[in-house]
Amino acid sequence: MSSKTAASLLPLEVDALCYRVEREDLLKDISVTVDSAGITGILGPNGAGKSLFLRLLHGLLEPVSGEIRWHHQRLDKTIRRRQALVFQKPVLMRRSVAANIDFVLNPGTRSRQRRDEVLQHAGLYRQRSQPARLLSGGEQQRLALARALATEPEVLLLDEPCASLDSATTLQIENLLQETSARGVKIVLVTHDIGQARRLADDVIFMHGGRLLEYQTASTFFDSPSSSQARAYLDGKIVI
Amino acid sequence: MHREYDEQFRSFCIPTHRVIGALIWDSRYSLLTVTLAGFGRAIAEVGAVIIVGGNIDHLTRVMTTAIALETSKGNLALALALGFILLILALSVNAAVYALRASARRLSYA
Repeated sequence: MSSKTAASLLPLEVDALCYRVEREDLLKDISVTVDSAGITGILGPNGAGKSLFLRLLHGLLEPVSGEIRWHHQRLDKTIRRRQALVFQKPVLMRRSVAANIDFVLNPGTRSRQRRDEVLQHAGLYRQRSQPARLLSGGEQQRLALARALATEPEVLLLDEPCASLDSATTLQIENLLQETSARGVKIVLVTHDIGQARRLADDVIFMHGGRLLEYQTASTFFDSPSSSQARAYLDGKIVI
Repeated sequence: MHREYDEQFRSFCIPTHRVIGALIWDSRYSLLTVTLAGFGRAIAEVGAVIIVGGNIDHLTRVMTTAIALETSKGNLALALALGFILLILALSVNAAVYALRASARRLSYA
């Protein structure tokens, strides 16, 4: 499968980002610059603001204050078109597997060959005429990922793509992600699965209580986290 | 359905006309079910039709009002015959609605 080349949307610059709902600060003063290709893991306990942060990075939500820049440009629709987001619960259309892929392919360049290529790559070619919503949980998530990749994004954002999937399906999805990353697509992966972050992430953002506590390379983060919350989280303690 | 698809469509930057088309196409079974259910209810309605329409011959007379009229005139055989036809129509429409909903649910298109 072809794809546009390496992460031309980098660096990602987030400057004093805040997000508030009904006077409650859900994200507070987040600043970070990510300029490394590969896979960035966003780790943290539930309620840390990881998914919210991902939606803000994609422009699905507007921050109350602060700014997000991709390749020194303010986030807008043009930039969003060059990204793709895979949600935790796949949102599949009430159509066949093949029609779900067709829907996102550019109408000008849409072809059966391209669609079949995408489905084969995701291991879903045999199920192409089945209704998408009758696939198993793992197949649905693979289809959501294949559909996102069909748009040939330069940045792929994933919100806990393997939550509630078994280990075999998780492995299939992780392999797809590693192949995608190897093709030069920047991946930002939200997860609370520490094992998955260890396996995949090249660098890690650790969030807690709506704040960004750490941004480190994966090896530094897992070997010697600097915040007490990250240490407790990695030790398997309950972080409140 | 719009609420369910909204974020995904915005994520893919789908233009409005394609969003509208997709929502209509994906909810086609529900829309058809609603139309048939509405038709089934409408052809079986009598009170409102008499009140609003007035049962004027060739203008606002429908099967139900004709049945009511023929009954009051004492033409019970005609009234009964019309009643049977109406029953068959209403039952057929309801059966179609039921079958459509069942197949849509089975195929997970609903």
